[in-house]
Amino acid sequence: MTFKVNLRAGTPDDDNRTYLPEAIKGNDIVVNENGNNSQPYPERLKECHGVIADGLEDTWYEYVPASYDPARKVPLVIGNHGGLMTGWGHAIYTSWTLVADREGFIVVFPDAHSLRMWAVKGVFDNFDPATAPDLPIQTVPDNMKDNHDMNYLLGLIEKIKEKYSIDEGRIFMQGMSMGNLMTSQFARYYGNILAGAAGSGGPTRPDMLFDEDGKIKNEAGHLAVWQSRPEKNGTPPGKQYSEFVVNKYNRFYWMKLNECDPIPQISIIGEDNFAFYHGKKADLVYLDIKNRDHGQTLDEAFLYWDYLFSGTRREPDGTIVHTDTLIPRTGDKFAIALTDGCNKAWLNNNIKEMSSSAILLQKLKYHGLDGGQKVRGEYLCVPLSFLCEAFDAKYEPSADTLSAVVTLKDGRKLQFARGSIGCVIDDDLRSMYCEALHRDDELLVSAEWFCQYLFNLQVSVCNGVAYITDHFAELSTFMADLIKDLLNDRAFPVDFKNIEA
Amino acid sequence: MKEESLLLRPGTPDDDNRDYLPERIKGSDIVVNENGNNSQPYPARLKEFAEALTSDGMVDVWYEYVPTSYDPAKKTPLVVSMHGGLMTGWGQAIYTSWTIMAEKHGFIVAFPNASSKRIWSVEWGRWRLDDEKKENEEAPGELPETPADINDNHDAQMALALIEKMKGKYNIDEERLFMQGMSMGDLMTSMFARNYGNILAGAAGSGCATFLSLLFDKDGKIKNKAGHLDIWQSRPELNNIPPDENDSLHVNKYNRYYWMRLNGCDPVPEISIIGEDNFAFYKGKKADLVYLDIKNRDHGQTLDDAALIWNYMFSGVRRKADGTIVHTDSNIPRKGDKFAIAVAKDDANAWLRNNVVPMRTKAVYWQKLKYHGLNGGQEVRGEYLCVPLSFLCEAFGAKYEPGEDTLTVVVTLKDGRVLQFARGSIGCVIDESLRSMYCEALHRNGELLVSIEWFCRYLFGLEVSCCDEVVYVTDHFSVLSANMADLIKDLLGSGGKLPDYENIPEIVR
Repeated sequence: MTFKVNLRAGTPDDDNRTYLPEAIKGNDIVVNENGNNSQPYPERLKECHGVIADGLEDTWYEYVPASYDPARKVPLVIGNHGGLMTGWGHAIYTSWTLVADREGFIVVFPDAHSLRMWAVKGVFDNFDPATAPDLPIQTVPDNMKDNHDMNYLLGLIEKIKEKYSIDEGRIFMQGMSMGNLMTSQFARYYGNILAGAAGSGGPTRPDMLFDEDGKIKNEAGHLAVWQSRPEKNGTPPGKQYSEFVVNKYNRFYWMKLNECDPIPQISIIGEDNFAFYHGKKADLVYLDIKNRDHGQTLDEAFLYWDYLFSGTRREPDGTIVHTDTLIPRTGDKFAIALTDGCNKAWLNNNIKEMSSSAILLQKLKYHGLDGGQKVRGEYLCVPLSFLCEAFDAKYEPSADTLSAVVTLKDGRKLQFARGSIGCVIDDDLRSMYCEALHRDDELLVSAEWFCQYLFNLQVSVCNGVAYITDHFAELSTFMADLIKDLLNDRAFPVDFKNIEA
Repeated sequence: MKEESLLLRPGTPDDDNRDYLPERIKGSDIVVNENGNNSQPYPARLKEFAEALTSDGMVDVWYEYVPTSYDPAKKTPLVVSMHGGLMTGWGQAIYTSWTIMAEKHGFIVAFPNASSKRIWSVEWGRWRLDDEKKENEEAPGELPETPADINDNHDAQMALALIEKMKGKYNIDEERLFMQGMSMGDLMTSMFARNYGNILAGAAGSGCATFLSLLFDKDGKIKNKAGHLDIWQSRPELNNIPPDENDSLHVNKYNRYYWMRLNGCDPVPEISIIGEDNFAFYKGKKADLVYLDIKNRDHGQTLDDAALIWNYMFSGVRRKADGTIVHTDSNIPRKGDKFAIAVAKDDANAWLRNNVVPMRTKAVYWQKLKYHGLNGGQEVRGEYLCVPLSFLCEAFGAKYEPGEDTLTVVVTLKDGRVLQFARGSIGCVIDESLRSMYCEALHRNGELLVSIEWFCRYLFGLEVSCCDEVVYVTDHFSVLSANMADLIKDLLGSGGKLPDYENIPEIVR
């Protein structure tokens, strides 16, 4: 059996604790740390050296797939490594070379010119060396024209265009951590030569994106953008803003530039939490990855390509054109999201008003605890009328609204009553997670129990938000934050003047 | 309409209540909810009676629930339900759904009060027989003295007399007498069953297994006077009796063994996990046993416990005059989950569709680590059970093609999806695209192992539940609970042979 994507077996080095073990270079050793999982060194990865800009010699790695045919133009991807990494390191910690094999495009992995650190403005502005003594401090010129790494990347693209048959409308850049910062910097200054940019784990500080008057700082305009935000990414040393704010305002920045609709489509598949924003000028994908630490997941290159880059091109007039991608950027067909204290719900990619606010009910154990209590469960209780709307069920409250009969589409008949943990299901009784509440003349029941027990749906809860859908899905922290904003009328700020710290 | 015959009445919640049994509930619509103890409004048809039932002249109090549909011309089953310590008959009525089930299914329920201090006169003993303790457990508070001879035990005799009283008063089906109890009422039911169970068709209890010293003698032989009986054991996961978790698992297990041996049960049950209800259905030559572990429930009984007991078991049980237990179709069949897999850490056996099957190598418990930037330290970000791909292919009817060096494997699923795995890679190629699994593929004993959690969730959208290093996978909402995880570990540990079970001699009568 032959495959376009061939996963090669590696020799695991499970005892490794270094960031980039040099022994890996050129062989089949693989390391796995949460969020940083390598593949065996690709045989076709070629190390290159040369003077590209400013009279300085640089190193980069080229991956040209076996299928490359100079007679046919192919896309180009530049993959920028993280701080203290290398181009070859970035090649093995990503799946770019595997996607390149399948798609026939070329990937280039440049080394930062010095210290294995990219010259990114602002990174060391508030940096206290005591917080990360091993981190070499990279000096960055004020004037971008004097920034060698920027000149080098610009020159490298030109060099590759001369060396190979590159489709100029399909040049993409991606980076991880400091490589994400570098990609962002490049996109803000020279993004007009790219069709798309992607980055993982290295959002840019808001004061680099907006000036004191809240105006956007940008030289190159709109661009198809992908932002990957591992849930456990953390913030770099010298943080000034919370991680939530940084991620959010990085998103707002490109939403504004790309003129995106503030309401995305949301899809959660496994640990991948996608918000797909459609823009008048270009699209934006925001991906929060559950339970991943700082880094990039091995499958990210496939996600970038399959969901975005495979259908993105920049026309000579500068417009970004989106055509069908290998996987469409559509939200989960059936999904509900709810949050405590909010009378709005997410339903099938729309915001719906409920008759009463969701209540987070704590289920208590208190017997035999000498007046104490323990919380045994927390559940989001929502109006039955909303659940009936979501599931197209018949809702018949009693005249006093203290009990309700619900007839599901499949004919099952349910009955609920105030204060009872019981739910009558077709003349049988089952305990719910917690009792039915009565608020604002509405009976409220646990959405988790209703959806899990009655419909076998997947319910995932994170930071006071419940996400419910019909497939494996694990809600992640930053997506929960995004949903909270959507349901609380904070989808997009009025201006960028006052960004909370 | 048929559906309207079972109706939940709304109550007035008293959320500030912290009492065990707030007296003001009696006769009112007040309801209280504590985890594992959730009440219903006081049933209008619940009637209190007081009378001397036994020859010792002591006046006993009990509560009767006779359903609207009661017809003296028809033989009607009887359930006697025993309250917990410091509770009452009426308390047991509101903390259970017996009256709701009685109304729906047309049986009668009697809820007696313990004769003294709201405490049943039960025997006290030692939880374990294999530890150093020689003395009985200390009872919580002052208990009435329990006579050594069951004939002198007023509460036991009262229960017998109450059954006779009900038989005299109503047209009771003698073949369908049942008893159930919660906590100390579970102990009471157990004592009654061991002494007089031959007059019952079934007995059920929640939240309090019996001291093992009362079930087995020092040689491990079963102590019993009444023989086999259909049994239902509800064991809330957070029951805390006995308080030590290992003791609790041990005592629950041997309480199960006790009735399995008496009833001649096959040691391998059918398992079904539906929501938080973890059922093990044992089939016996003489009578059946249902073991129900309820996830995340504290000491007590769930409101739906009575509904489960009736619909899964008592609805299809009767004892014939010759003592045999006869099973007919119950309202819900006692069937295991049609598709289910369970695996346990370091075990080379797996549970597959209600059978114990061997895997080519044991399941490996794999920790996913974060170590970058932690100055030599590390954090565990996830724990997964990695099992041989060959087994997963067997479970899902998939084609399994290992590479010659066994370091890579191609899997073709029944729906045509083609997957690739490789040693040391977190990636899984799915139809020429790549997705990260929870953790990398391991290579052990010539087999590639991958996280069963990821494989079943991502590729099949199945429900995966993990508890105490056991993973249960099925096609519907299910949450594996601690007692069931322990039961599964035992089943897998020696290929379906239970530890110690064979050492318990069968009772020969």
